[in-house]
Amino acid sequence: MSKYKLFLLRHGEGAWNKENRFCSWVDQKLSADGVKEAQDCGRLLKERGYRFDIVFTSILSRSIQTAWLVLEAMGQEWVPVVKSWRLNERHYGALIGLNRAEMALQHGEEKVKLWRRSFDITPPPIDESHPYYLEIYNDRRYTTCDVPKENLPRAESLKEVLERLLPYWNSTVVPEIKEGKTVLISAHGNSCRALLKHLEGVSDEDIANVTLPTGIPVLLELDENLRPVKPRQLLGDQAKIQAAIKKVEDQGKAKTST
Amino acid sequence: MAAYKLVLIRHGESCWNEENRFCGWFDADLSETGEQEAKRGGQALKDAGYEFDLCYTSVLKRAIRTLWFVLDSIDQMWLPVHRTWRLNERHYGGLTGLNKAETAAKHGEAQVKIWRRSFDIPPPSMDEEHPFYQNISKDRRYGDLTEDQLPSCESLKDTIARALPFWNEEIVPQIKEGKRVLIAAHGNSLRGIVKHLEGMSEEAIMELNLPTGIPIVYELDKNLKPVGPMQFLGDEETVKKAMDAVAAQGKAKK
Repeated sequence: MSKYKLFLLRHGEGAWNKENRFCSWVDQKLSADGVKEAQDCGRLLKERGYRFDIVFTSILSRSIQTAWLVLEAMGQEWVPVVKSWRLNERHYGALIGLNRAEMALQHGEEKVKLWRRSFDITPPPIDESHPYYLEIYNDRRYTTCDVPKENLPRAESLKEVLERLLPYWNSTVVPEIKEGKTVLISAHGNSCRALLKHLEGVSDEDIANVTLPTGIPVLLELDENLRPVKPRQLLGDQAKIQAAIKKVEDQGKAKTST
Repeated sequence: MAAYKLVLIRHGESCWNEENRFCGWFDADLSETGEQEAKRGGQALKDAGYEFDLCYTSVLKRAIRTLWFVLDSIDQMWLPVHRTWRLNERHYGGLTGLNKAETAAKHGEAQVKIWRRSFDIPPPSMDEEHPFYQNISKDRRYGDLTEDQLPSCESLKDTIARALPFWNEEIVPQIKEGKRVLIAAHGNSLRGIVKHLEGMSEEAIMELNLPTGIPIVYELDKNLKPVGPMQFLGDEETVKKAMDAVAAQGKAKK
């Protein structure tokens, strides 16, 4: 019997998702389609009668914007929203800004898949010569983190994402769940995957095959020890969900045309 | 020299403002005009290069959404936001939902005048029979309020009495820590803060109608006393209009 309900949501399309570029810590807002995805998600959750008590997001605008749109659609704008860098998307290091398809052509689909889907392989770090370095590290939000700016990541494997996410999960999110609060985590593909790996006990190998579609709420029903009592549920129209999953998987494949 | 800067913004037109209905704690959304006002307010803050550290708002969507429009405009969506019922609009009790004509018809012009002119006489309570009783008093967002805290109606005095403790206990310490604060709220809860900051009389605060959708800036000394009058941010025409409107209020014929 499930005691708690936890919802995870990967934000919808941002401008760079559309261009198939590793966005990561570059701060982009949602595209018009991404806005629609979030609104559709909110409408679905409203139809199903869900009531959130607290929402957690990263400090990247697209996840916050998603949370706002969902709450707006549900008429639950008053629900507290708590933000942390520890829910940020995975830091893709020197790969930030690169087009996935071009990378696949240069390095091969397999290597790209490895970087994207392996558990503990860290991409090359970002450095001052990178075109997006200053845009990220001069941003004031990174002076407000619970870690000094110089200690923030310069690149991350999925394992490293989990390492900086887990303390936050334990100290800040778990107590809310244990108080019986219905929690929504509005975050990113890899921060959601890292959390799923932890909650579901997915192996280092199998996590590579876990793909979260955008804009589709994931419901986890948990027991009193926060273990899932059943498989995760992707809510909504199943055909739509399958199409969304395929869309994300196709992004990793090389394109021969531009 | 000002030690601190504080920015207040009163939300713009709601769907019920459009219909001239007493809104209070009813969770009316912004009208299209209200959304535009919020975006303009955000643009004014963006043009002036404002940075904040912390935001406060009520639990009513018209204020929250105003804040969201502003944060989007100034590209600071990542700021921490604290929502509190204590910054809600004044609770209009039994008048909630009535428009001006209905109110006069139901209660008589004389009684309406008393409520409008009074600092401490509340409107009639919203009782269980009221069409909005379930919608408001039983709303989940007020689940943690004690019986004493949950109003069934408020005078302006009551509104201020429940807003100020939040100002003093939560907001003031943050300002004193050097945090740059933005408050997005409602006409009457903001009146509470303004009355307190400026040491205004009851008569004076009742005369003051804060402009909507326009960022209101206070420069404060280290004791949180304003070093000058409130400033409005925006293009020249908008600011002048707002200043003139405020100045004219004191002279309005009763």
